[in-house]
Amino acid sequence: MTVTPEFQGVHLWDRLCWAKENLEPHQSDIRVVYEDSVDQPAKILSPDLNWVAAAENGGVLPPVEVYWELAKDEAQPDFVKHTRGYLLHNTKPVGPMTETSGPYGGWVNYLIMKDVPQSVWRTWNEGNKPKMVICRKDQLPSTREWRNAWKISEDLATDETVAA
Amino acid sequence: MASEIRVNTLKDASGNNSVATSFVSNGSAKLRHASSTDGASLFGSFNVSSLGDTATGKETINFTDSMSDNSYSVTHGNGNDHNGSIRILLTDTLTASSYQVHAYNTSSALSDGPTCSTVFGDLA
Repeated sequence: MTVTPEFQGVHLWDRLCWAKENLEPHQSDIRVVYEDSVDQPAKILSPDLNWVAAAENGGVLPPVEVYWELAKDEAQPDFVKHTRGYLLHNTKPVGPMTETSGPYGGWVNYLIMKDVPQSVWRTWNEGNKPKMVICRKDQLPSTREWRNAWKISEDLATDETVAA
Repeated sequence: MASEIRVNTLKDASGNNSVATSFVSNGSAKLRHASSTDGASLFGSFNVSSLGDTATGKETINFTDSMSDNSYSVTHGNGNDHNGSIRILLTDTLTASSYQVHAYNTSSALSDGPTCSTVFGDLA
């Protein structure tokens, strides 16, 4: 593991530049499949290889709650421009995470809480089938045929979140 | 940081052609992404946290460092779809934290294939 400089107060952009220069990208085969509308096909989230490297090394990414605060600001009807971007840069960065351990229970959970709509991950298991499933890339259909009809299986129980 | 140079203005060797460092940083691309033909894998990027495979021909790119608003510019690189058709790429659903790329083939149908994009604008 590479020793991360003390980055609290350093612009997140500069931290990402440091991470790009110093950390080995990590291509993960984790995929998050979720449905946020009955009228649309299932969506699939793939983690970025440089982002995973930063998450696993620690000390680079801000707490996920910072993104929630910015999302709240952006949801205001009179939103024009972010005025609390400093939260990204001045809040103490989160420590190292693996897929399933560390802050937030691992970077998979962090990524879900950052990039999947809250309406999905806060209530993923409320219903007849899960709205969200974590799987490996090779568990997805091998071709793109009928992509717009992809849905999470009706057969999955809501306690089977990790199919890997 | 191991080292840094702090200057406000850059000039050439003869002292001419000055440019403010803020001009350089403001004009730099703030994100880049390149994704593969399956629409579900990133193979080159900067300032991206994840790629969303949203539907046929639709991808969502999520920022790590958010933009200050949704008035940034996105430029696209084009790629052929699975049938070799030249595609048209459009930006859709811009927010300060993500945007979508929609790819159409010459029949004006949404179509999968490799895409890349860069973003210019102000960070949050």
